Amino acid sequence: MLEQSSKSPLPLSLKETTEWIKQLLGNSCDLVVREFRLGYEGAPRAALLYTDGLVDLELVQLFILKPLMELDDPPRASDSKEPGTSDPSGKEEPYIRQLIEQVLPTGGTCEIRERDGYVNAVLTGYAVISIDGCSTAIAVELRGWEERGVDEPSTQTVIRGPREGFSENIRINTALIRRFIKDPKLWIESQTIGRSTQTAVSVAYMKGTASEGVVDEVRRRLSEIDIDAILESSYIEELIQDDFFTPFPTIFHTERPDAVAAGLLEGRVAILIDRTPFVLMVPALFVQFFQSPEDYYQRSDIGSLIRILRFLCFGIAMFVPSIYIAITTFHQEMLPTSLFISLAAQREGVPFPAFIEAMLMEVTFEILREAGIRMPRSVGQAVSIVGTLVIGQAAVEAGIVSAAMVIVVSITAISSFVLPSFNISISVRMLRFLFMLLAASFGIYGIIVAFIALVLHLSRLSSFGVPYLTPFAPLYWSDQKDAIMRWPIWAMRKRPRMIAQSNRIRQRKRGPRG
Amino acid sequence: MRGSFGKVGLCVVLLTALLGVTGCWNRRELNTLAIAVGMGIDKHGKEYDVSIQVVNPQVMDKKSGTNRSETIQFREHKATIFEALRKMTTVSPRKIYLSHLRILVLSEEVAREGINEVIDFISRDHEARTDFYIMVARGSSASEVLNVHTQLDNIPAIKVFDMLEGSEKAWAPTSTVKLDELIDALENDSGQSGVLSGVAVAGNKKKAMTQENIERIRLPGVLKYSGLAVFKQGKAVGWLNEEQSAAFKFIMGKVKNTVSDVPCPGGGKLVLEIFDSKSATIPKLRGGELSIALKQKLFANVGEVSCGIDLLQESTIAEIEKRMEQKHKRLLEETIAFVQRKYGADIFEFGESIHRSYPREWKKVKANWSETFRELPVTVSSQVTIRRTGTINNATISSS
Repeated sequence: MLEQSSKSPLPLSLKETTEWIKQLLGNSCDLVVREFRLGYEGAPRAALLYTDGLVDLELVQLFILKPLMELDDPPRASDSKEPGTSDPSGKEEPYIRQLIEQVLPTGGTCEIRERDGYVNAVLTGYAVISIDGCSTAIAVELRGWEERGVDEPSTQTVIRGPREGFSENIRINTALIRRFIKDPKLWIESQTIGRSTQTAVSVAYMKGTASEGVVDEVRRRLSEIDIDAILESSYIEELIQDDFFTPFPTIFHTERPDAVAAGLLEGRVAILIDRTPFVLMVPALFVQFFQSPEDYYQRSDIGSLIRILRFLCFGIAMFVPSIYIAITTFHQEMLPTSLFISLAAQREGVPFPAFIEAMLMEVTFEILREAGIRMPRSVGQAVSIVGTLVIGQAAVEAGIVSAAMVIVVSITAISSFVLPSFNISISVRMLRFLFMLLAASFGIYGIIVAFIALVLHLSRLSSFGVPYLTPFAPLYWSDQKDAIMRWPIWAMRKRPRMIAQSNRIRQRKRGPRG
Repeated sequence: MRGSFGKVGLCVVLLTALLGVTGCWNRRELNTLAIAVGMGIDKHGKEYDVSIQVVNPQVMDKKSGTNRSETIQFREHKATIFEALRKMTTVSPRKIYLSHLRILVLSEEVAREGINEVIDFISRDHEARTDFYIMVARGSSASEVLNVHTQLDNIPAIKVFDMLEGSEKAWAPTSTVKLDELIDALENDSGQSGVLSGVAVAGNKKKAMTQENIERIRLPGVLKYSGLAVFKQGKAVGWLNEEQSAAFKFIMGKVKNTVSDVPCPGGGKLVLEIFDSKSATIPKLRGGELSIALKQKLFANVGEVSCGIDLLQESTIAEIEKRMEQKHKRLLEETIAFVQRKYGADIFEFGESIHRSYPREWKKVKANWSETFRELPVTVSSQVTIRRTGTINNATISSS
């Protein structure tokens, strides 16, 4: 896993090595250099180097220091003459190998020859053993640090379904996926990105199911990243997404291993990033943001109905304030008379035009929402009380806004929370204001023109070469089974066409049902 | 290749240009509008006297409990209706907004002098919809009709609208006419003949127009539907009474539900609820003579029995059906004869159906249709089917 960059080789002398690394790290206090002598008579001096806090001290003592210091005899020369194992470059090579093979009872153990790899190993939590007179060091993976365990994901919660969520550790995350898919075709490729952070990034896909083109494209885009730090998956997302100038997300992210497993099995490519529980998935389609893993865990009829509800809510969250503005200021004749009179009665005495009134309420709501997220939990309640009073009663009673407007803003707000993906509701939040502005200037005409423009924009988008509006445009009838509706599992016998281009058969024969 | 791209490009340009030609619209806040729900047109000498009933939204807001009236009436007179409406801005603080007009009341005087001018304005105006009811004030001025205080619905215009709408569905004599229906009736081949509903102030007219009217359980004065005004050449020529109005609606095939009494064989009465009716006007041409055959089909339930008959006997049902058929036939024949003789106005749209079936003959009689209509022989046949006898069989009390 360590980078084998061909920089200058390690110095032979132990003293030189420790001096060099101490100087390189500026005598950082978390670097530990433990010098010792191997147990047997006439053994060379050695040093154990590690970063404090990144290794499991107990294990280091038990499996490195103890066997080495209590070594009674020098390791025997290995009898097995394997071809290619003998190193012509130096004499110490067999000695190091013998130590690894005979003395160290540890799993992830490897040899280091360059300075770069040496520093890297120390900083990424390996325990590194340098032996005087050897230009090769031994790196032992005994990493251990305080870690958040596998928790229930706080986003994308479900009523029925697995409760495990990804954590910050990429190894745990790959394991969580592996636990779902025990198939040799699940390939996980790894690399590090970020000059300073050296963040491990893994690309997971099902060999043979995922489109090779997409996998190559992911590899290409990742390899082109040249940045000092990757702190969260959003860094990668912004660097590799197809089109920046769109309010819509073209990369899906999730905290749920089951969602990633389902995506991989459909032929998507997952990008796991160390230090974040959010895993990216490409290609991402528009409909995907309306789908929750739970759709598949509940009965298909309720799953379908709830999906339809989400599309409805998308429409409500996007259009209701603008339609309200348009109808009350431009198209009053469209309302039934009694509703019209009741709206007119409510608007009596409201000093602002409907647009200003709507903006006032929407902005107030956005402020409250943002405050609710950033506030410390203990203060959160105060925010909600003030919010209810300001948004709800006081504003209406003071005659600043009409009661109908409060209803409009509330239903809009609630609807935007229905969408299972947070990033699609952000697009809705932003576009809503644009629509309101157009409704205030041009009425329903403005809304329609903007809607046409929006559809044109959506059909122009693509995610890693797959059109964003698939399976509506281009239209695939067989993929409609898992778009707006969720057909029974036994009916979905093929994988989505644009995602799993080569291998589409999911169920070869008809199941027990159907 | 280049040519085809040019065509596609041209199409895109044209379609984009289409977005710019959507017609007119205007931005108005709700609280800058005076919502007109009723409009009354009287005559003031030679001028039109226009009254507008406007909703007062402040009062409609439930929280402010005031004793102010829910509606306001503005009134202006001028040579034309449009001018009168515009002159109203001198008294109304807000612009009169006509889209939510529910009723248009014409005084009998206006109706008799001709409604073409009124219809032209109201259908030419882009604001007004076509789904309000048009009626003629009978025995009072249009302004007075709009002035009656009403209960259950505080806005008189909406009260009248709901009353007509409800009554039309359940009571045969009530007919409603909307703007598009009126225009249609006046423009088809019936010699500008048609009908409009009549509305009258029943009871104490003076008290009806004060707040006092709604402070009692029994309202001193109410707005009431009363018959149909018959139009010929766009002018009102007379009225149809309640029974004739019912016959008219049967002939037009518009009865959805109504009740009718039939004399029992042994005296007493039995009421039938008619829940479906079908009507067919069949023009006939025999030996150069035009005639009309009217076919009626009624479906009824027994609704009320106040005589001692045995409803379990099939023959009794047949007997009742026969009596109802006779009664219905007589009513229709008498009504048609009355309209032919007295008004000569083809409100039944016989001319239209003759035009459709015999276009060549129609050309001959068209010029003199009014006279031809007076002499047109009409035969009526009716068929009544009783479906159910209600939730009980025979009357619980046998007639003494």
